[in-house]
Amino acid sequence: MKSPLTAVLTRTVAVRSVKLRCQHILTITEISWLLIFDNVEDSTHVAESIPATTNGSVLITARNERIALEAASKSLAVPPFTVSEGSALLLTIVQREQYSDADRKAAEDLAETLDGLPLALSLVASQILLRHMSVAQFFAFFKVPADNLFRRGRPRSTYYKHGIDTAFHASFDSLDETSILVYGVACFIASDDIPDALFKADPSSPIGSEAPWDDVLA
Amino acid sequence: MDAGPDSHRYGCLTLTGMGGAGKTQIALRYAYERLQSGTDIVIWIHSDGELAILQSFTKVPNLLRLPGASDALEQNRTLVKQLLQRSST
Repeated sequence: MKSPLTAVLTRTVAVRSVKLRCQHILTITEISWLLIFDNVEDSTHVAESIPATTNGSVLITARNERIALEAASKSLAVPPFTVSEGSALLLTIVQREQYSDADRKAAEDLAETLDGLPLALSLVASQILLRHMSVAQFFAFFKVPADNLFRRGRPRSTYYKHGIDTAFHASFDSLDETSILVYGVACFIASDDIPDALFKADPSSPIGSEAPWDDVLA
Repeated sequence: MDAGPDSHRYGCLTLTGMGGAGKTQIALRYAYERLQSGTDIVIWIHSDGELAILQSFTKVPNLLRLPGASDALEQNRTLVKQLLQRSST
């Protein structure tokens, strides 16, 4: 008898052995390779997938900084763009022959509104292209349908399959109820640029390392 | 991450940042440059979840042009199926 469960199990075991075989080959091969783990959420699966060898390179991308520590690798922070970098990106994608001063100003305003987030900026830029609008026209129009624009998370590339909405929400998925509560209160009091230091244990403060959100964030 | 594009010395680097900051795009660009500068293969593993990782690895044997690569998965599946069938009796 062949139950669906057996089928799934069979397949999982089969692919797992393919993975082991690949790892082994990468360990002994003479060819040069680069192994990229994109969008890692749980480092255990990655740590056990890295071939035990010194003749290749491994690049990992992750939202969580702790992944780097657990995979025993160096880490490099990728911050959002500054306003000028962001507007430059937008204008580059829109690719018009010339821009008016109003367009340049609108590009900067868009970059600022979107907090310099490259994914958001490139989405907006492709909308400007699609709608045959000038950047300035788009910025005026932008405030109304911004929600719709981002919510429909259509896949944009084979390599990055999330829309901006998913990308944004995924950053909060791992939080438990207490964290969400603490974070919600913090956001209510100060909606932007909450200092990291608030959430880090400080033995010299009255709360010290006993902060209620300490375990939650650890 | 590496001493230079020609260096094939082992290196492991993690790019961190919020969703949409461009980590994946940077990785893509880097992969492209490494291929241009002579790295033999780039293996891209979608890593959101264990199943995604395993699925990505199933494409690797073809990439490595292993003998019998295309049916590796099928062979393994058959083996495991036989094993499971035997253990259930």
